[in-house]
Amino acid sequence: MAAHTLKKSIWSIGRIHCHVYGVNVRNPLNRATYATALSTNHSSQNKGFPDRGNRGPFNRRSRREAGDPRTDRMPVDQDWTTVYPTATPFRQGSVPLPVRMGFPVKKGVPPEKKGNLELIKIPNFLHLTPLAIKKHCEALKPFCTEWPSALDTGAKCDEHFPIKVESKDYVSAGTSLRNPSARIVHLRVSLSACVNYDYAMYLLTVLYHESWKMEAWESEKTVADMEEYSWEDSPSQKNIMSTLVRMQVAGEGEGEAVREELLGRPEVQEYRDSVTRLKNEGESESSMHQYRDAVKKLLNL
Amino acid sequence: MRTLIALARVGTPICVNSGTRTLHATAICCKNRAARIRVGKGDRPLTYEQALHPHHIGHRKGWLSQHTGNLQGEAGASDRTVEDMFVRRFIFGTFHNCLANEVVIKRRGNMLVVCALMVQKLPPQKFYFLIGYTETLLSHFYKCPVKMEVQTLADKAVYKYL
Repeated sequence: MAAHTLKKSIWSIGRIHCHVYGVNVRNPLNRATYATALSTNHSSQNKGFPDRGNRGPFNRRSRREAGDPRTDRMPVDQDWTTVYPTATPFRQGSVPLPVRMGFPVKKGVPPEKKGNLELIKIPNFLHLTPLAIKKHCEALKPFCTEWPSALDTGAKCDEHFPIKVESKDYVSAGTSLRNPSARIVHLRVSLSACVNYDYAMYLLTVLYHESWKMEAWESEKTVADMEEYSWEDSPSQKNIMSTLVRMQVAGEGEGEAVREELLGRPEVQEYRDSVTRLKNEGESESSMHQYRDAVKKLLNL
Repeated sequence: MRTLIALARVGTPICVNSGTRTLHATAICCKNRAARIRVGKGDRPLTYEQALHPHHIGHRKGWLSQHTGNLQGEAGASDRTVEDMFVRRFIFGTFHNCLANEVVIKRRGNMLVVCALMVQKLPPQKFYFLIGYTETLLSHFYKCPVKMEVQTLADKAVYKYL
C-alpha cells in the first residue's frame, strides 16, 4: 500500500502535494517535482501539512507576544542612573515621558514616540542628570589631589615652572582612535626666565650636533616614512623616462647615456620641480599652472 | 491659427501665409524627483522619513548619520560616507524585509553605533543571531567596535497616506 501510493505521488505531475521529509512542498505552477524521501504519513491523516510538531508554516501557538514596555513597571522614585548608565540612543520603552517630535500632519499633532526615528537621531543627555554627574565626581575624587596652595598666582607658576608644554587632544569620530593633528606638541620657554645663558647655549649646541648623528635604524627608512616628496627614484620619474624614451626624443641610442642626457634637459628639470612642488605643497592655482606648463613643454603639445 | 486659415479660405489674407508650421520649444526644466514619493491614490502608507522631502532636512527632519568629518579642519568625511553606505546596504540585506525605517548611524570616538527600528517579523532568537553576526562581521571589517541598538515594533509607524 505504501509503495503503491508512493509511486502515485512520484509520477503525477500538476497540482500535487508532495511530502518530502519534514518540509511541505506545494506546486502551483505545474512543474514536475521529485519525491526522493519516503513518507509514511500519507493521505487521510493530515490535510496536506506534514506533522512538524509545533513548528508549522504559520504557527501562532508558540509565538511569544511582545512584553510590556519597561515604562509600565517604573516607580516614581527609581534610580534613573540604572536605566541610562551610559550614552545610549533614545529607547521609547525605557523613557516614561509622553514626548512627541516631528512636524504635525494637517489638523494633527506631532507623531508620538513609538517608532519615532527623529527622537533616535538626536543626541540625548538622559545619562547626564545632575545625580549621575554627582556620582561621576564621587567616583573620580580618590584619583585627584589638591592644587598646591603655594602656587596661587600666575607669576609664581611661571617662576617655578618656566617651560610650558602644550598638547592638543582631539575628539573625532572615525575608525581610528588617533588624530594626526594631536601629534604636534608645542614647547614654550620664555628666554627671560633662563637664568644661566651659557648653559642654555651649551645645551642648544649639543642638541644641534646630536641631530646630525645618524643612528643605525635610520637607514631602514622607507619611502612611506619620508616627510617630503623626492622625485628621484619615484614612480613619476620612471614613468616620464619610459615615455620619453619611447617617444625617441633623444634620437638613437640605448641605456644609461640616454637617461642621463634626458635628465639633464631643462624641460625635465622643470617637470621635476613642478611635481615636487605639487606633492609637497598641495594643490593650488599656481602650482597646477606650473605643472601644466611643464607637461606641455615636455611633450611638445 | 484657426482664424488665419478661415480668413485664407474667405480670401482676404491679412498676413502672408507661406504654408509652414513651426514649433517653438524652450529648454527642458525637469521636476526634482530626488527621494520623493509622489501623491497617489491615498492607500500607500508612508513613514515620517519618506513623507518629508530632502529640502526639509535641517528644518523638519534630522540627520541620519552624525560624525565629525564635516567640521572645519577635520579629515575623513568621504571615508565616513562610504562606510555609512556600506553599513546601510549590509543591514538592509541581512535583516530582509524587517526594517521599519531608515538606519541611524552614530559615531562615538571610534565606536560605530547602528540604531535600527525593526518589525517583529522574525522570532527573537533569529534577531539575536543576526545582530551578533552583524556586530562581529562589521567590527572585523572596520577594525573598530560596532554596536547595534535594535528596537522592535509590531508594525511600521505610519505618518500619512499618499
